[in-house]
Amino acid sequence: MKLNFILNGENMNIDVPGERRLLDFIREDLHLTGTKEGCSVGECGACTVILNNKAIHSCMTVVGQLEGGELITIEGLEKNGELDAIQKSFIKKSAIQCGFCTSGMVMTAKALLFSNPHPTDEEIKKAISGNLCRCSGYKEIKESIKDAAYNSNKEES
Amino acid sequence: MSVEHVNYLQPKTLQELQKGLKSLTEKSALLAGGTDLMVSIREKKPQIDTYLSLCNINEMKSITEIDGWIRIGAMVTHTEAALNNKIKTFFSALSMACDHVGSPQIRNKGTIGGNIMNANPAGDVLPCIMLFNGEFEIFNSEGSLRRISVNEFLSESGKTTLNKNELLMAIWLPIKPDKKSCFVKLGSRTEVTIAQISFCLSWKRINDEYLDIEAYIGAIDNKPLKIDEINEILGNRPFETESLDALSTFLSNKIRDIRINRKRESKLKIYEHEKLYKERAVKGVVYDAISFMKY
Repeated sequence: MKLNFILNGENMNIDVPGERRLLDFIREDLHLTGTKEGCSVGECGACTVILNNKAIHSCMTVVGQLEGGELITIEGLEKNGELDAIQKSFIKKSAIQCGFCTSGMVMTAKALLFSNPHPTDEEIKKAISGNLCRCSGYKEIKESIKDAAYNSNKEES
Repeated sequence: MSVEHVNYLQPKTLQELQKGLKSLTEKSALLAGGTDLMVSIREKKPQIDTYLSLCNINEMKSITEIDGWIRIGAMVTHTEAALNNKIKTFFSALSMACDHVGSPQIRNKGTIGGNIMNANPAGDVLPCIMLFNGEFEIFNSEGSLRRISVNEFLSESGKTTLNKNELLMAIWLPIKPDKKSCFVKLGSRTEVTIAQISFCLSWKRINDEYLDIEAYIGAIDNKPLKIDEINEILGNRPFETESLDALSTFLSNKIRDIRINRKRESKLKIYEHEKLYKERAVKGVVYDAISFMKY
């Protein structure tokens, strides 16, 4: 099918089978390998991307469902060579060990801050409930999201 | 491995949808959110000839109030339903259920219609639709619509009765402003969990009197069960330990009877003592659910 959508801020017009799995399309066709494949069945959140400002599993989405939408992958967060506030906070708080969950975790956090710029601790916990970190760095991850929210809000005020 | 040609249809109008429905075969798949379909494709690897994606049909994506009813399009996501003010106000149980389906990613994509059409015994949405005496709007390949009750929608074995050329377009729930409701589920963890037991409840409160209590329990049989005896058991003193324990014992016995009479083997590999878990744990579900009636 002819597919129109916005990828990381750029208009895309591509001919692609509508039933192709979004995760494969992102990694194998677009060569954006920052998005990771974990469980492939919507349990681990490693493949999380943002579609129309909402966190979704790219392993459970087909490309046709992008039609007319706006997709953001981890590669789209950096602007003009500068990392996003969440990426900076993950580094600052050492919220990364093996790194496999990181891009999904960052995208989930970004989607949370889109809809809720001032999340409480409970809201952060609920937002990342679908993202597994087997290095068990949840404490640092939660602190990073809180830190990113604080810094973004400080910049805006 | 040979690659079969696959059709991917994504209609934008009801006319296109009608045409798409006509073209479906036994090997075709209706695609709503995809959160269950994609897992089943990965596990079973069926040869699908046509995908009919429903994500662009506007009639299936809105929540509207019409003549004393709320119409919820089948493609409304769990997140949208959980956050919708009308659903929160008139159908709290459904809002609470949708707020705890899967993970945020699943709720952002998975739809009310997909949840209902899977008719999984552990599904969280169907018990709520039954609690509110909801109706199902069905669209067919001839372009006609019909509204059916739950008894017509679900067979005795808990499967949906729709034909290949039909689909669930929307759910209709009658507004009863004086009724409150709640939903509670027991799972193996607090978030991202599948119901071991789900319980939804509605009631009228006039001063300190509780009237017209209705309840459904899910995930214990092939479809949600109505608890006809609930008013009699709770009487007008739902918060007294005696009433709560009587309801717990009643439900526990019900779950035991279902277990004893079940002919098919459980699909899950569970130990003998684990089979008794629900009978014991239902007490906690009852105490949690009834506590919502205080507010």
